[in-house]
Amino acid sequence: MKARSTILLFAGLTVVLCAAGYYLASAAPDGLERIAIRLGFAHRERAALTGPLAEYEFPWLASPALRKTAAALLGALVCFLALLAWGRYAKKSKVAAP
Amino acid sequence: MHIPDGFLSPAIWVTMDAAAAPAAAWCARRSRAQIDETRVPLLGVMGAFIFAAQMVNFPVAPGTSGHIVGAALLAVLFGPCTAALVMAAVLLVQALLFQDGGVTALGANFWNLGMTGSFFGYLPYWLSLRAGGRLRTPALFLGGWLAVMAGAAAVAAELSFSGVASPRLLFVSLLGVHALTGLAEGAITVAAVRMIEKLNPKLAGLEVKSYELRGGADL
Repeated sequence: MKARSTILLFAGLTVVLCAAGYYLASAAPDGLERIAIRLGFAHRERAALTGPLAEYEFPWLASPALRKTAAALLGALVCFLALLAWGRYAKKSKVAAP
Repeated sequence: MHIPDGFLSPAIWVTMDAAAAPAAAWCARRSRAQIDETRVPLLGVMGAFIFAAQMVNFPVAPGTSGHIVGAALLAVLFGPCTAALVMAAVLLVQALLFQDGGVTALGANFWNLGMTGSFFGYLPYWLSLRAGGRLRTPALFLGGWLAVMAGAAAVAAELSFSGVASPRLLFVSLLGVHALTGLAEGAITVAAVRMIEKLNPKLAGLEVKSYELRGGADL
């Protein structure tokens, strides 16, 4: 079954979202953050691990928009490759199974 | 809806992490048995798309934003087990690279967004298929809404057991806000499935004998 057009559409949408996210995304806290502030438990938040691209920023670029876009594209690429690897492994092991 | 580190009590996050491992393993086994090799590239692209879409928060109420979860859409395309695995991959990348969602809370986030989101998101669609494809569009919308609401209820339960606030306030607040986010999720699920159907009807299981039903009922 060929799914090239669907793949191209969602790949294109992914790139658009990564590039435009900086301009489009609301800066307001999300539902859980807002409720944590309102109910007084937001102060409990503490990072157990410092992510290299925390706040969705690629720290080695100067422009804030580029920092966000590069981080987003990198994250999307890692997701894509990880799932592609899983799919290939699943396919291989399925073929190998008696 | 990603729970950060520190919100959950150690007893809760350890329990959720411990419960997530066998759940993910079970999903991986089911997914491996059912995977359609022609969909592997689409699997990767949809994972990347959900990651990108989750970054773009939109306003849902004054001073409050939300983002799509995407679990219902994934469940319709790939079945709930594979959808939960895609969500697991997205959550891992978000937590480890971007510090979005806690590392200790990964198990809880997997249960809330991955397992609950995928299975509750898929349930109305599955029922519609069982009924011969009737009310398919409302089922898709309801699936999107339900995925968000069920996930929010799970978050409220975990926070309640962690003793961070009154359970009544947590449930009312979280379900109230996410009822609105769920409407957007439902609309996006319907729009995305419709778009996919137009490009390739077989992909979204437009035929009543869907991918998941062919592979064996999953619920």
